[in-house]
Amino acid sequence: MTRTLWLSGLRYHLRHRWQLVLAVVGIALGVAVVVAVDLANESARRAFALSMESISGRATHQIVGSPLGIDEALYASLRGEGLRPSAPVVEGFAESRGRTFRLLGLDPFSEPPFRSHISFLSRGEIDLNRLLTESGTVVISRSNVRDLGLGIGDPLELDIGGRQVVVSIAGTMDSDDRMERQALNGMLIADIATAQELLGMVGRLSHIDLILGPAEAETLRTRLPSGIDLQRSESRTQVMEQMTRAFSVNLTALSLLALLVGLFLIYNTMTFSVVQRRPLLGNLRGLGTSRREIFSLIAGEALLLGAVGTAIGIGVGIALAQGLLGLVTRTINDLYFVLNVTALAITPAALAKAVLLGLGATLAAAIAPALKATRTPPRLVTTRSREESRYRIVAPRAAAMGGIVMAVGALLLLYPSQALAPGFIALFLIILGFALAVPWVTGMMVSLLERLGRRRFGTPERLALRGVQASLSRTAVAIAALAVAVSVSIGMAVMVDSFRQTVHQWLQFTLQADIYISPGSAISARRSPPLLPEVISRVRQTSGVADLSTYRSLEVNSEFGPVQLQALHLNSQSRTGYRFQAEKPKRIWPAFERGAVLVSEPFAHRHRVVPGDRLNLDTEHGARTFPIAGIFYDYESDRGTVVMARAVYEQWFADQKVSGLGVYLEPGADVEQTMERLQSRVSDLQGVRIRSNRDLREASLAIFDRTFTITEVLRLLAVAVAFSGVFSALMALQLEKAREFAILRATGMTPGELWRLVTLQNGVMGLIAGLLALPPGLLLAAILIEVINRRAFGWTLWLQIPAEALIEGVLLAVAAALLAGLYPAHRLASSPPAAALREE
Amino acid sequence: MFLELHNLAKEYLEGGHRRTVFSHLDLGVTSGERIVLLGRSGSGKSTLLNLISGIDRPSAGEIRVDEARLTTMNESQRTRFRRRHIGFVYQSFNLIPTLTVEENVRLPLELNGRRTAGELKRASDLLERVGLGDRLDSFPDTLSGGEQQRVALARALAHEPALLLADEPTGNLDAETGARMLQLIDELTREERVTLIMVSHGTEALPLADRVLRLEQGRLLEGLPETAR
Repeated sequence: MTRTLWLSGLRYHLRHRWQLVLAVVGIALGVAVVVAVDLANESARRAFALSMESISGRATHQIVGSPLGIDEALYASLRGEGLRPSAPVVEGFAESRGRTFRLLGLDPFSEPPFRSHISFLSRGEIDLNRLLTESGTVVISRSNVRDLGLGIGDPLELDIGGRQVVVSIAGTMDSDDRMERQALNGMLIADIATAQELLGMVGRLSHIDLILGPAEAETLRTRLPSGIDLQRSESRTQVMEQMTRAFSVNLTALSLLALLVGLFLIYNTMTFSVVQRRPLLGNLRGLGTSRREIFSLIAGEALLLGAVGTAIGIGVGIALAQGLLGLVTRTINDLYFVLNVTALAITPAALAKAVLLGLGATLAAAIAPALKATRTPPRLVTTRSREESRYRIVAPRAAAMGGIVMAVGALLLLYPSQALAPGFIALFLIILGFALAVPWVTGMMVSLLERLGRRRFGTPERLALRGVQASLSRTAVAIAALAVAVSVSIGMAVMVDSFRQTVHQWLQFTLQADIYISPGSAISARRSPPLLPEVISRVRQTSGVADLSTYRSLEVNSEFGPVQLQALHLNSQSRTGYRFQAEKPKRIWPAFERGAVLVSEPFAHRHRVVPGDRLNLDTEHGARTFPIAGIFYDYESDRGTVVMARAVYEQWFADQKVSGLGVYLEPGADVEQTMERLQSRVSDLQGVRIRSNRDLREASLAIFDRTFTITEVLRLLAVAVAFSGVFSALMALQLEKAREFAILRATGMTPGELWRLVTLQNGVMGLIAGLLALPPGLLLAAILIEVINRRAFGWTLWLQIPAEALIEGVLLAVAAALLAGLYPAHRLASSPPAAALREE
Repeated sequence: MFLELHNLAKEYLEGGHRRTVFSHLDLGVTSGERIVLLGRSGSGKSTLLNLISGIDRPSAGEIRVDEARLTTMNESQRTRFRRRHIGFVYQSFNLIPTLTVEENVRLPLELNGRRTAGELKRASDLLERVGLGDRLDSFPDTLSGGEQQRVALARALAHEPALLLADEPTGNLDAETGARMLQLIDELTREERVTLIMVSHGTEALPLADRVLRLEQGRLLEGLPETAR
């Protein structure tokens, strides 16, 4: 490669600055989306691992019991038998001024071997004596105390499960290590007795931490009483990671879709630059430039574009990740577990992946145009019109090939598998096949439009259509890129809307009670503390209340690790809210009353269980198996839920607590008035949330919308990638025609007519792209719903086709195309044609 | 006078410097007159044709074509005037690459609202007349230079303009093809009774001329230069 050859490429791009800038923007945005999602996921994962590590410390094992914890007498007895090092832990959550804190109750004397960063408490600004002897004292991180504007000795108001308590700050903790400091943020440490008291766990422990060798662990396991288990510390972290795996994978997949759109746009840019430069490339070949050198030139340019785009993309991605991190954390908190993430973890691995992806995608997209460039004959024996004619001949063959590629994709979808990768490969093949068919379909559509408008169209209109048809080698690539981009946007929009509609319908039949009461804590639905028994009895005695259904929600250990268990007391009306996959409710409910459990659809999918299988759960009386009577539709959690009859639960778990109530009113009772009565009767006992059926439904949908904000953001980013690419492609297309338009102007076309021509031509291309995007967009939505979502989460979603999403997609395409035409139309129409004619 | 130029001037900005192509230019052309305009490359001949056709604007002065004052018209008005009254043949043909030969010739007819089959037949008739009746559906880039220029001539005359401007129409053609082209221009402009202003830097077009003008150092002079006599 000679310097002059490089210069020819460089100057070409400098002369087409707009095209260059927008291509770089397209790559940068594509990379930025992937980087942002990657960093946000990784930061959440790290924050979680860190918080687990800060809690587990150097413990190798943990003794865990039923959901109600372990009797602290067990700790005393094991310690008496010489089991050391061992440390008791009480764990829960508290809220203060909109922040969620993990409240950790520890025994400072047992701590040193376990949590070094917590055992340094003795070195911190802390009144250890006060912490140990005075009830209601806590230690908090220095940065938290600073943010809250408090100091040592100040009171701190906490909301623990709807109960308002005030604790006193006995000291602050800090660390020189950045990661440790991050782990300490959002943590409150108290003496074990204080934590037991605050969390309502007097006499109980959450778990006992141990440092054991494998042999010691085996011996200890055999000595533990029934209902108590010994777990390896890392298994807890692994289970938590598995919980969010599908969520992370799905986000990554959606970000890759945005990159895929970027990929098409890079392909478009490079193809266009090759097609545009055919005469120049022909000259270069005539001067003795080898095919290899031409290939290197085009691939090198792509690499340079890719490098610049990737570098900018990484920068933008990091900034974007800050925003996404909040959304990811909020979704994890809404759906999975409490997580505090304050810092973005920018790992070299994530950056390396972005570089590889950005450069790799650019190169992959440039290979076909680069190969095309090498086939430019040394002297341009083929004329543009012959090249276009040949393109029109090849177009049907390309469409047939596209059909085959799509069929392969469809076959891959039909292949029975639970893996996500084949689903995404199939998705890619279908999009690729579709793109191959675009030139032929575009030609057909334009011909049809020409025929339809033969009598009605004026000269600008007919020239506009003719322009699309006559430059199909260029216009079709731009239309394909636009259609792919819009189809991705439509696909994601339809998927989200279908999901929302499904959830909406599900809420409608699931929520049967008139009023719902739950503890007032907003920490996390998964961590709700119980309602006080007095609250329940007052509710029952309130006038207007006819009947109650109760639920108890908690995490229990099972053969699959911790699972969400709901113990329900259902009346006949609330039973109608359950819809089952295949089995008859008439057979299910009696079995349920006799001791069988129901599992939600995601649970059955995740753990591969079917009705008739048996499920092992750790109860107060040790491990017990429960037959599975049915699988019900449930969209509350992708982890899945096990439902058990209240009576069966009380028998095996010796727990009388209730996490929430469904209140059924007497006929004619007013919902609003009853809610006011209930509020006034229980507010002095416990902070509770009393919501009507409609309020709860709206609140649930609001949470749904919150958790899908991130999908919407990713969709908008994909749209932005598409928009920049399309803008670039169509603007380049029109600017390339500067001379042609100048001739038209010189021949007598007015500036207004030229405006009409350019605008119409772009509008037609946008419209064709928008219309062509509809079938693959819907197909994409169907695949996301039927294959990707089902494989990732196990949800059955009903495909809903919202007209707005389709119209929006078409409008997006038309708007992008029209906007792209504004500048060329303005430039060409406002300057005298002599200038453009002279420029050649 | 059919065409009048008064005190016409054209200046360009080149790298921050003002370059005067010509100034104080005056000319009168009667209807049906045939003028050949000579001058060296860069003397401003093409610029003058661009100004007369209205595809460029003068820096000063006035242009009247058939009593219409081009210099007071806006862009759209000039364009409409041009498409009704003026035909232009360029040295580099300037055909629309995405239109066939026949469509290129139909274009000025359609722009003038002449869209019936009878009216559009003039395009194929003219192409027949220039010897390209068998290439109606060909695209410009499949034709030779001479053929492309014949299409350009047919297009320039399609809408029956009163004034034909030809900017070195043989400049890109070999001598023999160029001579045939000039003959065709001569025949067609006489048949159509068109006023002709043809720019040339050689003497081969002189036989067509009723009057010869030359543009030298920004001034318009009558007759042949001393060296050519």
